[in-house]
Amino acid sequence: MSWAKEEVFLELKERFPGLQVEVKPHITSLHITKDRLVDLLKALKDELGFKLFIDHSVVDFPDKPVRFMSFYILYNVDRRERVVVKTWTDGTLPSIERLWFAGKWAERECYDMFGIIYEGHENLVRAFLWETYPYYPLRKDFPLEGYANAFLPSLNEVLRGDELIGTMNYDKMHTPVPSLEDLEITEKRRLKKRAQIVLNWGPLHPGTHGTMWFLFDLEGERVFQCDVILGQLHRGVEKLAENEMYNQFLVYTDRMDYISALCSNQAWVVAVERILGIEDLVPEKAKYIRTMMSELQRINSHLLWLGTYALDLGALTIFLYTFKEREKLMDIIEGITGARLTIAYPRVGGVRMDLPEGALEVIKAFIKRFPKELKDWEDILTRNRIWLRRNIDVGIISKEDVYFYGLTGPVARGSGIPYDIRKLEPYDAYPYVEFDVPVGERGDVYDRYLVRLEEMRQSLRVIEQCVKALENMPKGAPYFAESPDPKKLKLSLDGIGLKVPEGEIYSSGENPRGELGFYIYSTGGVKPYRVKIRPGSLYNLCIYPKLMQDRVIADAVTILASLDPVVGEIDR
Amino acid sequence: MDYVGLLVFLGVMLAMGGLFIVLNALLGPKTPESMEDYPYECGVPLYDQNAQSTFHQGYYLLGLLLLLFDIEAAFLFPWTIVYKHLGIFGFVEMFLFVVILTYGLLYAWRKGALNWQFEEERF
Amino acid sequence: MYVLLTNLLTIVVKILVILAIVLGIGAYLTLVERKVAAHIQRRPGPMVVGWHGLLQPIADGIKLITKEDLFPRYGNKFLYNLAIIVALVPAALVFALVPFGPEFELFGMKIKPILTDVNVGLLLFFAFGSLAVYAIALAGWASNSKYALIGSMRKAGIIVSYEVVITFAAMGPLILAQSLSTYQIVQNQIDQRLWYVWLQPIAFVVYMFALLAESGRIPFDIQEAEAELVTGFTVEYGGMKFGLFPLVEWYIETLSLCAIGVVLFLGGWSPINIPLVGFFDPLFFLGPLSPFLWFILKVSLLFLFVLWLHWTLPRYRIDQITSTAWKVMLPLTLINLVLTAVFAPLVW
Repeated sequence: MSWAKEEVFLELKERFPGLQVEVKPHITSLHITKDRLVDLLKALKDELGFKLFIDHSVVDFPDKPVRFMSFYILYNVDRRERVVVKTWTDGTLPSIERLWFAGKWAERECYDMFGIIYEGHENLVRAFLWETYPYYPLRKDFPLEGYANAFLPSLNEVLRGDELIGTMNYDKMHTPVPSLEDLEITEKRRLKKRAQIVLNWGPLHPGTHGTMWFLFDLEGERVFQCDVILGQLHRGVEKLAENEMYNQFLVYTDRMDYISALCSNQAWVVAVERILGIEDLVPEKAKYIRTMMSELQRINSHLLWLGTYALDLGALTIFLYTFKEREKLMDIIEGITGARLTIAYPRVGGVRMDLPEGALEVIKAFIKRFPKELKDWEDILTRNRIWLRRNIDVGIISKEDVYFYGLTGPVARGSGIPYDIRKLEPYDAYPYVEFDVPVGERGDVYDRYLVRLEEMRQSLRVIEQCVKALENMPKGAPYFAESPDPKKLKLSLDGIGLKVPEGEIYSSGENPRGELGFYIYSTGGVKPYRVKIRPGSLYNLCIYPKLMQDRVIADAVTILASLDPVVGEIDR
Repeated sequence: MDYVGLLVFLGVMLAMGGLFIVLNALLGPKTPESMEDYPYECGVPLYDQNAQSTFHQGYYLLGLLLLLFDIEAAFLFPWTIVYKHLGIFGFVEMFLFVVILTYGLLYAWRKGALNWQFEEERF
Repeated sequence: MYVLLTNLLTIVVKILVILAIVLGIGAYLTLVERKVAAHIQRRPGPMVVGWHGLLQPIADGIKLITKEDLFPRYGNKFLYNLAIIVALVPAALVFALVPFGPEFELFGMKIKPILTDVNVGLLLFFAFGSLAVYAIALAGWASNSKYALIGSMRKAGIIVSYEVVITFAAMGPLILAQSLSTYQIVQNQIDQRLWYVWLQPIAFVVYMFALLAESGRIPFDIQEAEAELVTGFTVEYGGMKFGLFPLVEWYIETLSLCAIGVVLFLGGWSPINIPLVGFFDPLFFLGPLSPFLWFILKVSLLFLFVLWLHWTLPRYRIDQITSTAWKVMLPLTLINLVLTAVFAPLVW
């Protein structure tokens, strides 16, 4: 597996006296005290090559004397190893924003959700909630339903007074929502105006592809500085995860990155299977089906990206073309799983149901026709002079930036780093299929465009191989794992009573938008104690303010679309 | 007499424009709400109340060049009409004029005036 | 007295015809555009209101005029409304200079199908064209919205660049025609048995670019750019006030520029031209109506070409637009001007 071995850290152990290395099957953790934390991270980054920032968050233990366990997940791209650095704190941590910019955003999130104060953080503001919100919702002592202390009657209740009866008579007290003044305070805290005008770009804007709120400090049309206010779609998925069973949480992964639901499902299911230790028990058929489906979903997702991207740059027609193909894909997915958008098809231990009759024929017909369509669109765009001028040398991301900002997925690959979880830490049927990982050279918007187009072709290759493998399988082959010991481990399609042993894991899958990772901390039982989701979109977005420096507004759409964030996943 | 039609038409179009302005006030519903005239900035509170402030635009020099070239075009228009009667003299005159014009353009090009102007200074 | 009355009557009739074109056809071009766009995108387009959506523009119009009248907070009301007039009037006045066909006789009167045939026709055309930018600048400034402001500033940038280009591009045909009167330019092309596009291909291409730029069509539609500026300078306009801007910019202005383009380069109402040989008219059986039909046909083809580009290409960025204008288009037109001056005597 891809976790660092103990011997890697021997030299560090001498330099850091308090350092403990703990190697478990699914995780390798370094324990360090708070005061040496930054030094250790710096050493890991500069000397041992753990350059790529994956994630940071904390786990709340209200009963322990030292309340918060914070963890930092790092990745060594050259040696393909991962490591987790852990430290305990009572509420303050040193900021790592100088080591990784992505850490700055992760720290904002922890401040927002847990109230951790980061010393040395440049502008510690809330990531998702508004500034005047008094609570820290992910703490264990915050109730799941929140504090309903704001009087917010519905329109019906306002109009009809107390005459509402029966089921329509809801409680008029709700959890608070931000007022205009709250939002004003939030935006003023976020950005200090230094140029001519500050433009609100989003949340309700066609160019932001969702409800993201950008603040552009403009000098003329040039963006002088820029920041993002997130949280318009925040639903507290991580809080929900702590209160749902493992299979119940599956449907929430659909709603995170709603454009690539199957990939998110797969990543979650694989993570749970790994922590259960039943990854090898999953029947081959289920693995192939999952792989095939998530590759279909990847094409689906990239099609949406291509259409909206072209739309943003003014090529209005490509949008309709890609949506036509996307419709076919949706129909295929609907035919197999019964759902189009929020799918929840994989299950812990396999898939929900077998492929229907004729599914493979439809898929074969699709992959036969699709390359022709793809070529049509490329004819319109790829060598188009206007397209080239709008894309080339815009939003260049260097290799160093990829590590510094924790970028993954096509954005990292566009800059020439072959970071693909499907290759580095293969799950399901990915070890058995052949495909290439396309990488860019310059790292500009155009390279990312080419990478995504090529990824669609590679996905077709994977699907083709999966279809071939599935055709060769006997008809009655199992698609759901059998538990080796039903008394200890209860595996069923509905997942009720699925108990996960004590332990922790970080496992990730390659989503169309980057690495979607799940850090699961289990104390045993049917519900996880803490789930930290590593959203690829969030960390991909965090380079946006840097890329927008000195660019004009017209480039804002180009760059944003090339990072391809989905707000459902960013906000969770 | 040639321009009478144009003037009448101008009057008609002015009336038309006035009609378009009052049409909505006459025919539309009137349901005032407190926030409906709030300037649109994607549905969030304005950071700056006032948009009518200084606005740096990158084509200031191009605007100056436009003035130059448009005036020169105004000189060339009469010339195009009578060019037939001016003969070789007219051609040489115009040629020199255009050469000087082109030289001016090249000078501006060389000086970078044709590029989008961004001030490099930081705040 | 009688002569004066008949003159006035013809003027009134001509104005009515032009009004019908500006408002009626202008409105119906929205349907044409939607249909063309739809078929480019493999979908049927408006189908519900009337047969194949034929009543759609009327439904749109009714919807627009029955919207609530809004005025943005902190804006400037006088300029806000003035922008509408400044947008509509010059764009419509250009049609007064368009010759729709040759002179014909009706009830013993010689009638030229052009409202004002003056010897400075093209100068007037350029003057009206330049006024368009004021409408957008005023609209952007008066609505006190940053999106509107940025959009109007972008439009000003385009006009700053393409005003010069379109003027110099039109000079080539003017040398050949030796006239500024639009009617006379067409007449000269017929007399010389030559569409000027054959001698002025560069000028024609440049003119087409400038046409797209001045009328704010993709690839130059940056003042609207939905994805960046949420329709730019019209953001704070509502109802018919909003409807007017696209109507003027995208339809009336495009149409008038196409018409002037046909006059300058494609021989106005003349039928198909074979250079130096003569004209070939497959529509001869229509008799005196054929020139009018040719004119309409050419303008529609140019307009459809504009639509085709609009629904296919991506859009430029503002700095790319201005630099293309000054570094590519303007030198090309200057070269074209000199070359035309050299070869013009061959045509006369």
